[in-house]
Amino acid sequence: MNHEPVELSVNIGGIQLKNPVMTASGTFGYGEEYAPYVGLDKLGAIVVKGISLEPRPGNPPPRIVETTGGMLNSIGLENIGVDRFIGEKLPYLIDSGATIIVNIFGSSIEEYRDVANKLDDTHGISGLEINISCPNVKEGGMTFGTDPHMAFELVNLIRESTKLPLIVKLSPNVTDITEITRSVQDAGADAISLINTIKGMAIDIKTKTPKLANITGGLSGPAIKPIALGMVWEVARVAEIPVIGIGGIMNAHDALEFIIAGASAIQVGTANFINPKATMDILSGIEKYLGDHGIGDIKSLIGTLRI
Amino acid sequence: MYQVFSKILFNTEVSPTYYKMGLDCPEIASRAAPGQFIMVRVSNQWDPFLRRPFVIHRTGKANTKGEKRCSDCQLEILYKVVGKGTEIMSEMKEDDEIDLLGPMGKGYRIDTNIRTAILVGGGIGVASLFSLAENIILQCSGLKSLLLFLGGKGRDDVLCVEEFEKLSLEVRVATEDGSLGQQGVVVDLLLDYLKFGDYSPGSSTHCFACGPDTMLREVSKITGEKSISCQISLEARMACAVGACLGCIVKTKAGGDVYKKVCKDGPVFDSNDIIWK
Repeated sequence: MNHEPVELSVNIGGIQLKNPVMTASGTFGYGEEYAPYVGLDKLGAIVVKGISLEPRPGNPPPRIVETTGGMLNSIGLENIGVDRFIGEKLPYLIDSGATIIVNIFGSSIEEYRDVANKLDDTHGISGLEINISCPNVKEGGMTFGTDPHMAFELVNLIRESTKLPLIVKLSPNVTDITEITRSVQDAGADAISLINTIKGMAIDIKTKTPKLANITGGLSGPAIKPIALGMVWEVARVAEIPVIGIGGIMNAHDALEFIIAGASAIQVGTANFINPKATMDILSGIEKYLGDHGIGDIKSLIGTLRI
Repeated sequence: MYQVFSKILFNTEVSPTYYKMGLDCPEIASRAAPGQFIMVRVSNQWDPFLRRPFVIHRTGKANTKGEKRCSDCQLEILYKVVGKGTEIMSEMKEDDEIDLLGPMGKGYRIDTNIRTAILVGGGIGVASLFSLAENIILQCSGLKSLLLFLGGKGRDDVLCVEEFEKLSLEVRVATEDGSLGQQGVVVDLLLDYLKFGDYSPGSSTHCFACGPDTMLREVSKITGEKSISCQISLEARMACAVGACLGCIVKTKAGGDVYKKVCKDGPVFDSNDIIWK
């Protein structure tokens, strides 16, 4: 079936994306790893692997375990640090023509601010995603994402120290995700992304030991999609800023569910590991759906859930 | 690296629980080097979820002594049924299509000055050594001696002996239950061989090993003490195989503040670089 061209661009808190398909932090490396499979400039945006002030070795192996319909990871935010990222990884990404969003984290509020500051002065970055939701590190990470007051304080400080648009990535490991949503929105977040992985574990019954060296890890993949979708819908109802849906999106059907639930864009995570071209397949699937349903602009599909 | 849907040419049980699968995939086969691997998607469903890594056993490129088992567009993997994924694979039939990524990783580096090459394989670790042996024969014109030490729990775990002998390798075998070859582990064979001889740097003796971590650790120690250059092929749990998920890491002396990735920096490493637990 031939269709009229459809409008796929969306604006996420001041970041203009050519389409709503982004990559999720930690699942697409620094971009170049997937360049043989994906035209990086074809993506809505690349969200780079989480960056801290200093390099971090991450957790010891084993770090990943396959589970039913998903995987557990306990990478522990391994990264090369902000200075090496700017020097070694960013030039390639800029040359690729990708829209670049950098995921940042720290073990203290001040460290988050310092990373944001360094990136604020750096050419080529469209926005920051603040990770307050990693379940695999002892300090920082999820502790900021489960306490509305700490989340407010953190986002507020970063807001004062950078002009870049701020996306705050939320944890599902909370009682009421809308409470954190309101906190970070009040603190000046420009957009919200959710969900990060869900804390879980796996046990080897032969040895009676945990399968991950870190004992627990973050669950991702299709196994978490219904949880993510429910939370995106809840958050989108209360948020006054754009919401980015993440969690077990494997194909265009999954992505469309999130958009209908209220997500203005989506991030593809674990699916990249299974199908390195997953983002491109999802993009073409969304385009086909819009064409087939006579929808000329993706924006008119966002939050159209009928109840 | 390529993602291709490949036709299965054959999928044969070569020993109880061990299978050899032939794949028609010219993009990967024509570019594959010894020690590199492919990622196989064993199901179109989400369970099993992740792809499985398999080292490339041989390709049609290497063609020694006039023998030509498969064409330039084909490659073979050798695998052991250990879980749900490999069980599904073992039931696949000729002409079925299978989703592959490859060739992945950095394989063995072959120094063309090698005069003596010692290949050490434990169990299914033998899979990566066949293509290596073929390429050593092709590339090392001054090669004097090519030895293969194979080990397994029992005779069913010792694979491909005849195929290696056809390449004129000297094959020695050890099994833990004594059902084939010498009773013991493969490391015993290496120790016996290295009792005599000069292995100082410059003797152009190189060792290559693939097998369980315990075996690789021993081989690394032994060759390290004799100052013999040794490359080992590591196995690790991995999700992406392109260096993005950071699941398959190993501590190396050159790793600095971050681990090395088995999928991208390896799977083959110089044994001296590894920091064993």
